[in-house]
Amino acid sequence: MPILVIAKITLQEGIRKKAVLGGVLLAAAFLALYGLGMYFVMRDLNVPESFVNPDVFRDAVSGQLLAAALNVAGMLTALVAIFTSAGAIATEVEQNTFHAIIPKPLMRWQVLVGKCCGLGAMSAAFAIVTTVALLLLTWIFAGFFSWSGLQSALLLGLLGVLLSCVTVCASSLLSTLTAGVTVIMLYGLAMVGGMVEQLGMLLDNQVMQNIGIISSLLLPSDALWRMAAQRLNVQELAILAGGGPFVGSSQPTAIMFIWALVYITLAVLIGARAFARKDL
Amino acid sequence: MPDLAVTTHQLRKVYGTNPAVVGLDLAVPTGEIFGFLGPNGAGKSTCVKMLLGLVFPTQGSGTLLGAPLGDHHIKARVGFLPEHFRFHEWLTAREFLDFHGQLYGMCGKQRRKRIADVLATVNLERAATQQLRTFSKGMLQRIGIAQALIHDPDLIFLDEPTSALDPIGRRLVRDIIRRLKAEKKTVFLNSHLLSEVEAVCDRVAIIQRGEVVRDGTLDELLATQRLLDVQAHGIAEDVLEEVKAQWELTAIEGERLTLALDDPADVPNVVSLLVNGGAAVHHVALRHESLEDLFVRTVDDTGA
Repeated sequence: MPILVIAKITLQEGIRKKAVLGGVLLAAAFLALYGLGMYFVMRDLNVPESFVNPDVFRDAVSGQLLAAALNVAGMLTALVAIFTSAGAIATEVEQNTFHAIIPKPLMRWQVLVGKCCGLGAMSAAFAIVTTVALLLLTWIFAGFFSWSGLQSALLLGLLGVLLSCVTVCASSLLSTLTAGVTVIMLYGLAMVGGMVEQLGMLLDNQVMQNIGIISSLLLPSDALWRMAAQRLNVQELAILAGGGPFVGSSQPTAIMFIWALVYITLAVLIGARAFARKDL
Repeated sequence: MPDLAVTTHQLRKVYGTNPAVVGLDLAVPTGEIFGFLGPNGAGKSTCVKMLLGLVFPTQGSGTLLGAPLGDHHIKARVGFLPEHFRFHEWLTAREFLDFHGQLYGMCGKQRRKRIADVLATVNLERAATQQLRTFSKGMLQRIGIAQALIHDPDLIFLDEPTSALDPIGRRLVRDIIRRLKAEKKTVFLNSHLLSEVEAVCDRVAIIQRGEVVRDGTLDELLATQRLLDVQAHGIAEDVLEEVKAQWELTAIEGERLTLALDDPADVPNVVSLLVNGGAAVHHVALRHESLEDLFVRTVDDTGA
């Protein structure tokens, strides 16, 4: 019960924060731009004569654009998750907000779990709504709908939960600014690691692939994004359109998905332990 | 031995190498209003935080309502108004109290009834739908008191409850504390406003550098000594030295002296010493020591 009460107030507070409002406005602008771009691309598309079925080429191009847009949706989700969660514990400690909450009949871990639930739900909702909006825009302007893209939305939602929980954990250990910067750096590291892994696959370089795997172990955010991109089922179509940077050739295994779940659990446990020992 | 609402035994908190509280022993009987006093930095807030689970003691133990510190079930019977607080200012007063009621596990019906009651208690019924960010400091302090009382606790900690209040607000808080006493509640009052403490408390403890240097009921502490205010012109140095040698000079300001007397029968002796020494005595008044006098004397004696 206390977890739900804290989750609810955290969700309400998060929705009213400028970081979320900024994220929503950016997402709205991005979706508008995406819809407009898709409309003009489809209107002016010249299908090469080598293609017997022009619809396949159209789907290939729109699929590639969708994959690129999913990358942006992932970044926006990451920013919303990190910025809304960075102060979840640290700012409230600095402002003494917990002085009126911790003396209530609840355990400190319940406060932290409640915060993870509220912020995770918010980030997940942001990711899912943005991704579904992308799928719908692609269907409206290109006539292509990726049903498996709904799985992508859920995976991107999980990315939001992951980053929210990791940032809340960092917030219970570090100051607000340091927590935010640390998780952004981890996220950037994982993203670059993912790119190195992709290049390693193309160049058949095992060391580069291992770098990607290690970076995904440090933070499985890029692995989750690549799983989400894979679920769009646009790889084959993209190859027809000449390939592209947003549909990787190396796909994470199911173990990486399990690792992401374990990672979330570990982040919550470490955060709860640190918060339980903190003098307020 | 009366029932004790709060006890501590050699409670100690050290931050790094700096001791904030050293070996604190307290015993607050149930149903009393307890004043916890001390100069800035004496360790009052740290002590309250340790009692409420906000800060972990380095050593020592304690109980709240008979349960050991940290027992989170007992927290359902404890209310707390923090000194430095920041509430969720985007909530209305009613939403804020509802949130805190939920944290105490109260059902919807209970919450609705208690919210109306406590808003009336702190005189904020008309601000029920106002966001806290529009509240003055005094209103915030009153809504803070309301959240401390929302679940009808048996033990209430009030940390500087009147610091932001005007005289009317202070009187309101005084009345609330008296009402709580009438309902047999225990109030642990941490305040710098000694006149407020003197007006409502049954018992006080003064702490200095993290340990109790004086405690007892107000009657015991203030009845032991009487103060003699004297206004006299032309007191010679040697006469003043003789006065100091025989009685404790607690204050001197121009021609005004204040002496601490153990025996009221000494008044004529003081006056005759001054008059015989050539001083012109204009005014003499014997009074009980106030809590402020006791506090200043205690803190001075132990070296502030």
